[in-house]
Amino acid sequence: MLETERVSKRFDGLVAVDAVDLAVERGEIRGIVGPNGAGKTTLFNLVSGLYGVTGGRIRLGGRDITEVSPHARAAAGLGRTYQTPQIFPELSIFDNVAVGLAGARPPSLRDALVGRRRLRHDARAAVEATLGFVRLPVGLGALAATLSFAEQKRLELARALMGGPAVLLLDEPAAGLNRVEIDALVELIGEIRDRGVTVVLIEHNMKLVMGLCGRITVLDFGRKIAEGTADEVRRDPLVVTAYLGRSAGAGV
Amino acid sequence: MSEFLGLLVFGLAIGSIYSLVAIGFSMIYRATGLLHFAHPDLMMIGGMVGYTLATRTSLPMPLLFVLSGLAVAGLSWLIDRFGFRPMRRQGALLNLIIATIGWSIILVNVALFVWGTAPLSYPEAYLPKGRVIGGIVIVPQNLAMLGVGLVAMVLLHLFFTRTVVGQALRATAENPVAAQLMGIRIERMMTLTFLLSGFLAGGAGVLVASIVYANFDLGLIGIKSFAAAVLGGFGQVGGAMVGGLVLGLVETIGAFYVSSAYKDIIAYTLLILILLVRPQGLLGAGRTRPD
Amino acid sequence: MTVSWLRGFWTPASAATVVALAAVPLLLGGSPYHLFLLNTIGVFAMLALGLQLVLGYGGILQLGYAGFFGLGAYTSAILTTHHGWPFPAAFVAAMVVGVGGAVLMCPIVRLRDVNFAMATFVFGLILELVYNQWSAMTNGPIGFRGIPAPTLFGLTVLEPQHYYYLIFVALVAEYLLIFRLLHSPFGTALRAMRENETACRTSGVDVTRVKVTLLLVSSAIAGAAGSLLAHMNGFISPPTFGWATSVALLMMVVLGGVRSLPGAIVGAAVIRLVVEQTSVLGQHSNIVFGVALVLFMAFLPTGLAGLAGGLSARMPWAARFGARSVTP
Repeated sequence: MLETERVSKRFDGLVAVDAVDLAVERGEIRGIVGPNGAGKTTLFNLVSGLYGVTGGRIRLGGRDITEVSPHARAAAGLGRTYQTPQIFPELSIFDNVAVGLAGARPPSLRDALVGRRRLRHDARAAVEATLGFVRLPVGLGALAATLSFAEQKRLELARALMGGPAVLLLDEPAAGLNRVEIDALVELIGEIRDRGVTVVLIEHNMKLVMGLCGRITVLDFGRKIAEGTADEVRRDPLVVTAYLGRSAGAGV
Repeated sequence: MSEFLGLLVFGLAIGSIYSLVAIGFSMIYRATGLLHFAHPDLMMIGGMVGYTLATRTSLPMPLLFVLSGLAVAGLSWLIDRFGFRPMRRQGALLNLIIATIGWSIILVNVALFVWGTAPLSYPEAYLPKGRVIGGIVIVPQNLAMLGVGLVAMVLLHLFFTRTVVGQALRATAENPVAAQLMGIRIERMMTLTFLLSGFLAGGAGVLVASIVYANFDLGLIGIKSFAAAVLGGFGQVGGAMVGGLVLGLVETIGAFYVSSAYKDIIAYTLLILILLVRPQGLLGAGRTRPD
Repeated sequence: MTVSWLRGFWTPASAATVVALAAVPLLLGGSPYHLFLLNTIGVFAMLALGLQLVLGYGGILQLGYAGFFGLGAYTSAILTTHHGWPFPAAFVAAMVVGVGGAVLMCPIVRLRDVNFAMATFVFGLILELVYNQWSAMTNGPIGFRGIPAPTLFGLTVLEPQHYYYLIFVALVAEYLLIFRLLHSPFGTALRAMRENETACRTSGVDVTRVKVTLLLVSSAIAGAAGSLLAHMNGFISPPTFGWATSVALLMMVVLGGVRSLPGAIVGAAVIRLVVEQTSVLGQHSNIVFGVALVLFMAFLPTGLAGLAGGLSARMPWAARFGARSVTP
């Protein structure tokens, strides 16, 4: 569903991502892990189009999107959330989520002039449904800035889901959440997968990753150093070394 | 051939003026991200101050250059210190840019008030007879412009590359956050930026005004230095130097061969074309891809 | 509720305002001077709204707006005077040419804000120069005279009173258009872009296209306003379409409040009145503009509307006119 073929990113001498191959199957929940600075978020930025690749190709559903702009990738079915929720604080809940429709229905002059009632009605229904799905029971008119951190993460997720993505990139969805919220998150991600969305997530919370993800890809210094099921990865000496240091790895 | 030589000298001379103003403009942009719309008017003030000094004191040209430069440097700093710095905390760049437009109007009106509307010529003594080279009148001033311009550029280049302060200034312009982490005092660098750019503008003003005339309108010439700054790669100081010279040449040659009425349009169209085709300017390095 | 898709334009307050404004000429009893002033304010209010759309809501520093104003004015003038076009056709042509000018500028949209601002500034300068130099078309610095009064549906609009209604209709139509635009997915995308452009991109918003649309719409508006001015005065000249006017327009938007539609109209009225009064004071009057710009940007970036918004905590009825956020 989502493939990167030898994708690299170099910033004037610093190689952030080095020839990473990734092949995520449809319906998977894939975990991307690695120490800080391993290039995980950079990889996400490459996939969503915020950075241009300095090498390699990216494919979404078989289609090469390497040269495609970020908004077109979103329209093609790529959703994304960020490490810190990138919401629009001064906009209402409704507006925040409704922006997610932009891929499917680009905001146009024409829509502003004709057929507004119908549009409003449909959009409202869709937004309410999505908010219900992510379990965010707030009034449509409230300002996004009034939400708590965990709620803002949900809001961002709702926005990403509005576009009906085929692939969803979640960057540290559990960061800053307490245990109860994390459990709810795990359940939600499962439900998202059940709806047919392929999920790729970056996480530091190992328990979550091991429990939720079918397969895990490990990055270090911009390179893929391991890939496999939770058990396989857990036992890989390279992975242990990367996380705990050389001496620890030697003992495995 | 001699015609060409005359054009060359004249073009480079006026280009030096553009460069001097453009360098300051670029430096400010580099350091603060600000489009300083009042900067060309600082040049104008330099020309006016120079006029007053010339008529009152008959000091030699180089001194006029330096004194006016210092005066304008002070003014530039004052405007930054009391006009811009308090606003920097707000964080809205757009507001600042609009504010510089306001300052431009203020400067022009102050000049109008103090010096009146009539164009003022520098005393005879400052305008020795020029020679005609290939149909173009070349006044020693032109050579002075060229000379001063080149000297200034060489000095600046050395300053930026060889001295600690100069390198610190560049670092601040390139990446204020990193510079701060390295221990460079940002505010001090910004102060220096405004002082230096003001000095160059003031001096350039004297050079121009002594040939043309001193008038509140002089800022319009300076506006073309925007084109020079962009031409050379916005924010690149070396580029501003080159951009100014190139602009001066293109404009002079264009005016001669095409039409002098449209000379300004040539400069501006060139600017827009550059922005479109190569936004990073002739010398600018780097990517055009967003983010 | 905050500005959103879901709000409509017609409220008791807005309806009352429209009716009141429509009644003004009747109240003034036909004093030509006052009507002329109002008409001029009307035209500039149209421009202020257009600039506000692109600058206040789009965050695009369009510094050459007066140039587009000129495009419309000259187009309409030339077509009716030299080629005998009927007013409605010339009016439309004026808008088309305005848009055409914007199309020329489109490639620039991809530039970063600062470069873009510079490009619009220079574009405005170029246009002003063209109006001055291209005498064959524009009659150069002396100006273009003899522009006929507009004829609509067989009626020739000669009286300032009737012209008032022409401008009034255009202004209301424009206001409605902009209002609807802002209270639609497009408007939401606009406001979202101001807050977080990156998040917009990855959510599917084609930022470039939105900005281009803004430019085109605002340029059409400027063209229309230009046409109206030309036929109202019968005479146009280059200084009206140059940097000084662009600055005045900027001032109007800033004064009224960068993101308040009623504010733009108020700003236009105030600035126009100031201009009328200070022309009496003479040359140094301009400094008022400069000082005002500086002070407003430093202390009151949200303009008068922001002030009203601040007051609304105490006087809820003023809230209708208040803008939301602090920074443009």
